[in-house]
Amino acid sequence: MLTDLLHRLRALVRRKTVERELNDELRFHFDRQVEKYVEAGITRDEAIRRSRMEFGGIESVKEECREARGVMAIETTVQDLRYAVRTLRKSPAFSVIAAVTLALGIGANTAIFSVVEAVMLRALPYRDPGRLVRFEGDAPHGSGIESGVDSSVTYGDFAAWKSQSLAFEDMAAYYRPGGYARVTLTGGEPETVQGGFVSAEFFPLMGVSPMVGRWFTSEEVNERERVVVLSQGLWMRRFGGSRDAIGNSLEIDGERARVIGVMPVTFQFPNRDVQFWMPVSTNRSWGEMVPPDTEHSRGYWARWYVVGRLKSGVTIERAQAEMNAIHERLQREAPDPNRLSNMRVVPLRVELSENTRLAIYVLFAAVCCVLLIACSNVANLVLARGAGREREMAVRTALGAGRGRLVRQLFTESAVLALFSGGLGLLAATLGIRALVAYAPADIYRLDEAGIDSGVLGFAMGVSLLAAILFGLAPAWTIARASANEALKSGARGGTGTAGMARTRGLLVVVEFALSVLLLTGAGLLVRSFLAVEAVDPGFRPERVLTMNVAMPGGTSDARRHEVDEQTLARVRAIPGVQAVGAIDGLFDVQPRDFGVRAIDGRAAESRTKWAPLTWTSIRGDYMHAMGARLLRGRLFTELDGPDSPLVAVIDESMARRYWPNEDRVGKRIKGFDQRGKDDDWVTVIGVVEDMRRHGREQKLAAHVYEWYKQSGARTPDLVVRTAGDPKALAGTLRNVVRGLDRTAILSPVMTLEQELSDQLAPRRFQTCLLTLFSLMAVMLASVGIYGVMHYSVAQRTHEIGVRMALGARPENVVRMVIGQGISLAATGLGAGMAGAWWLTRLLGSLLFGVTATDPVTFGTVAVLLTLVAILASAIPALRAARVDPMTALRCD
Amino acid sequence: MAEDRIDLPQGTLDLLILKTLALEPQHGWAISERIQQISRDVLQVQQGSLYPALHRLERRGWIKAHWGVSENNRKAKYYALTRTGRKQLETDADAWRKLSTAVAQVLDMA
Repeated sequence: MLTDLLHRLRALVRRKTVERELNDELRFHFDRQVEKYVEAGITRDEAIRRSRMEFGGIESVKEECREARGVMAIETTVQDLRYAVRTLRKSPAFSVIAAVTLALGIGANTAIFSVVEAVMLRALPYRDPGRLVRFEGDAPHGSGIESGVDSSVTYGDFAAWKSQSLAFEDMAAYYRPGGYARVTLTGGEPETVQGGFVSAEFFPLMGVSPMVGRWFTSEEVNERERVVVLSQGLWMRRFGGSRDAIGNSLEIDGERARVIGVMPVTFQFPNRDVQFWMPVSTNRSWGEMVPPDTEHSRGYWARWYVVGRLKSGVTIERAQAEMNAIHERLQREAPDPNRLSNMRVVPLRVELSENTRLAIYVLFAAVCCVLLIACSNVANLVLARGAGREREMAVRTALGAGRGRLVRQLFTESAVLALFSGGLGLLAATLGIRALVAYAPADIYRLDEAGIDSGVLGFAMGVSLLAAILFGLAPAWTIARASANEALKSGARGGTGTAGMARTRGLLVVVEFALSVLLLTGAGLLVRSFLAVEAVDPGFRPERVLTMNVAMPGGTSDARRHEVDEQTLARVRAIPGVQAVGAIDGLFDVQPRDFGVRAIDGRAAESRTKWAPLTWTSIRGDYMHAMGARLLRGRLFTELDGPDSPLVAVIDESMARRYWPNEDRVGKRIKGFDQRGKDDDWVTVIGVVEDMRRHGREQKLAAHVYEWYKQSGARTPDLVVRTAGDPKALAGTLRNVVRGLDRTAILSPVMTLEQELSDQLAPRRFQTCLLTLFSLMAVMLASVGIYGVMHYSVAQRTHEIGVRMALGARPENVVRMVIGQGISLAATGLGAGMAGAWWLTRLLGSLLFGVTATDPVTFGTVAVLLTLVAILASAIPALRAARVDPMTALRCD
Repeated sequence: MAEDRIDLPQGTLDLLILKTLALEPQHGWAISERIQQISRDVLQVQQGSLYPALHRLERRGWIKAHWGVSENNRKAKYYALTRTGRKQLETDADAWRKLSTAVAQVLDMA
């Protein structure tokens, strides 16, 4: 074994010496043989001739000796590598085109993969994250949750799980994001931030130590101590990253909280918006823990999310079985209509919205297609060049190179090319990732962590090698298979290209076209969806409208809040150039939940099963005019509708259709669960307005009941201002006016309504743009592919075309022939692609809006577009063919 | 003469080389001559298989090579049997004899 290794090593390291020795050895044998014949009395010349005959191919003997020495593998690879680099440098045009094509494909793949890795694959930055789980279940019907899956549980259930389960090391609860977890920070520029209100078990469970200070103890949680652990971001912003922050205080919801620790920047639980963590008992909702009220929706009581850590060795399945038992027991012993109907144990991962996940899959599939197309393009180039190299291959075969040896050498060339392109692609990916992170909508968690790390590097390398196999192996096989004799016999310098090779090249173009059809159809459908979403009438006129949120810090009295709201409206109305001003409670940030009304005059109560999305909102001032909403029937609120006058409401069409589809709605009376519903008074409908899609044009309509602020007593923090001229000119004035009113008010940036609407579409716009970009890349590559094949085919057939023209074919016949050939290739690909797209576009599912997955307009456009591309791409070679001078063509060998 | 020659079965060449070298170290040409002579021209070793075999045996450590001066006063590569080579020869020769006896018995069966 050792001798073997040493032997191989020597052969490798002292390659020149070993090679010379081999030469000497064989030379000696040859000379000795000649000598023997001469001694036997044969003439020297004859002796040499005979020895040569006997000896056979000296090169193949050497080759076999090298193989026998066992260094073949390494040595030939080195040899092949040198040869490959030399060959690639000899044809720079080929190499550059191939490298750039591949680099595009590899770069796009790597960039998207880095996103996949950062967002989906990378382990969460917690101790032993594989054992962390969360819980989710299906909401009981009519529980006020629109989507079926929910995670919130009541604190009582959490406590029961914790005490009854055995499969878990521990469990921790935290206040679900939004709602009462949003608090105001005052002192300095006031801001509204998301806080993490967590139970005592939380930090030990996650197993991440604070980078400065400590986390809170269970005594502090029990004692409702106002202690706070900061996120790294908040620490930098408020304390400039100083260690003196510890022991200092922060004003949260108007009350002081003592800073005791800072978490590292990677700790972003439950999401990256969370700025600090405080004991669960310090949340202002803590006191509202009253016994379940079945009349209220579960959203009101179940407001806790739970994370758990499995005991080591416990499987999810076992934990699940245990949770099922606990859940059943709870339902039996303490029934609660707000409890989820079942409970699933789910590994803790980054939670991506369905659409984001789907979009990432689609984009990843798209870049894979682009890479495949790039590979077939390069395969085509290699084949075209291979045809010119037939004689080189034939000569090498004649000199004793085996077919396997040739395939290996050709493959090494491919690998060198692919790895070089991989390097270029990595460069492209670096830029691509930067662009992705910069332009991606902000809602994708951990996207900003995307970058080139070892995983991504390995991926790029793997993809490059895969590409080498894809584009290198088929041509290598085809070329090496081409008969050596044929090539040597045919005197043509360029070789003719075998029929098999032509077929392979045609097939590659067909594949390219088919893949392009897939991508282009997908992109087309997304573009059509985007246009469809944009075309949806939001139900209001967003032009020339400014919006701003005016929040007041926690602890501000209700009287003061209303005073601020009232004065804000009055002062803004006085700004020159303002046409109408109003305010609402929650302009965009509404998640319509399934609700019903408690009573409808003259009808039986609505059962929970009939519930559908419904929202009660309070408005103030000239809200409807400021939004540009149309009043369809009845009247709007006036200042005469006061707290003591009869309760009134304005409803929208959805609400009207839902309860009074065929009768006059004005004058009808309802009782709600919210706000006014707590008193048992009837609310009378006084008007009907158009449906407004405030929460997004893609969302399904929710029924709205608008209430008058004077009667509901609710705050209306979202200001809506319609201006006469350019709204942006008034933005600064607006802000100053409100700021001048109250120093402590928390002001959001002033936005135009159009901008807000456009931002709602940001994720969709981003996905659409990326997919379109990739599909255009695909089409470009495919058109280059078809151009290459036609160009080559014309060059090969110059002679034939010359003959045809000499026999009377007119240039237009030749053009038609060449273009026809191109189109027939494209059409085959088009057909295959269409069939594939027909099946695959349905996977776009929820990314589509307003179009079916088999939208004929999209499919038709794609077909026409790609046919045009095929015609254009074959037109140039066709025209060249038409210019063939019969005389020259016939004369050239 | 040509029709009397037979092709060597796989692995037999290695055995013949080892046996030839068991007498004394030799260079490649002499090995092929010796095999040809002793087999009375029945076995003729082609260079195309001789040298790869020599290199293979050397790699396995059964023979080792050194440069020496040949009978005609030229530098030649001599191969000599190593200790493992000698052991290998014994086992292989033994196996060969058993095999050929057995084959002969079957073939001579009445």
